[in-house]
Amino acid sequence: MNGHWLDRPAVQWTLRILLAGLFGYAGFLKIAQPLAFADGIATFRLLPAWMITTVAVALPVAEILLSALLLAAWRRAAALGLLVLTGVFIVALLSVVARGIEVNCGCFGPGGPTSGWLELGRNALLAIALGLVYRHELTKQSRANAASPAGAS
Amino acid sequence: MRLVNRVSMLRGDLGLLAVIAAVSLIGGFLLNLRPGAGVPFPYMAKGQRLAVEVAAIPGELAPGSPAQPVEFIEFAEVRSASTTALFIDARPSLFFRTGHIPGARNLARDRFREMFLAQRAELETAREKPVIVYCGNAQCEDSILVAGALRDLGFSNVRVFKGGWAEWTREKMPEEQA
Repeated sequence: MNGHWLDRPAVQWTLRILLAGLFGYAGFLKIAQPLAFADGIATFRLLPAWMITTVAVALPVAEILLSALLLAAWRRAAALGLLVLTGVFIVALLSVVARGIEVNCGCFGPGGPTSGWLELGRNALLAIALGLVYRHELTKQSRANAASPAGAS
Repeated sequence: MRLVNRVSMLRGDLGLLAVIAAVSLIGGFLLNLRPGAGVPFPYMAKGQRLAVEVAAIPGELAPGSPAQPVEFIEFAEVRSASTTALFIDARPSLFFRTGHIPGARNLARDRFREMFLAQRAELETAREKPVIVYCGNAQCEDSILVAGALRDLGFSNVRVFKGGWAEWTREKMPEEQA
């Protein structure tokens, strides 16, 4: 059980607190100004109008819920959920960089145009951190299952 | 056995995520009902929302050609020489209050109708005068949108200072706070 240093409880708690704080903060900023976030999504020129509204209203709530769950119960599912969201952001940013268009990602509330490469780097770091949390929780549960009488049978 | 275990865990996680997605969707749309928050469904771009606001202003619309840009030097000259020109700050009120070009009026793109109607009497006197609109920086589009709205409302001499507040402060020009 005492394997890699990345699996130490202190490291995992630190990662989870940082990630939950970051995604929760981002979610609250978007909820405070949903129209500005919708305008940011529109700059990506990827989604139809009805979907822009749907994403603009639902995504911040999802970020806050998943952040809360990352600190409490269902950490593995929360890490997976945030990992999927980050993956979607990365794909969207890659398409922006490929098309050479200027966007305002709206990731942390309204603001001016953001650099696609900078956002990609930030999201890649987040994906790595979330991957570490997810892998840790998955391994922990696998071991627990294997150790339980049902898992051993 | 280990793979079966992991697939079973993944299935459970995805089920939970589906529930979270549903709760987020319902919660998000409920939050969107709160006053002043509403993202229109379907989404309308800034220009479309402004056009709706302009159409709701009583009076005749006279769509004009797009406003021409004005560079910093010319803008500064017009500002120091002209006593009749009207300067419009198209940024949200919060930014305007923090700092703006001395003498400028705030006609924020996101509250255009309300602010236009509140200042209508003073603005009407500038219908034929030079009007220069600016926003945050060269990338923002609020100045272009507000200039277009003013032209639609019959203001015949509207131009856009593209560099906006960023260029004004970069050149260390005087500021005013509301």
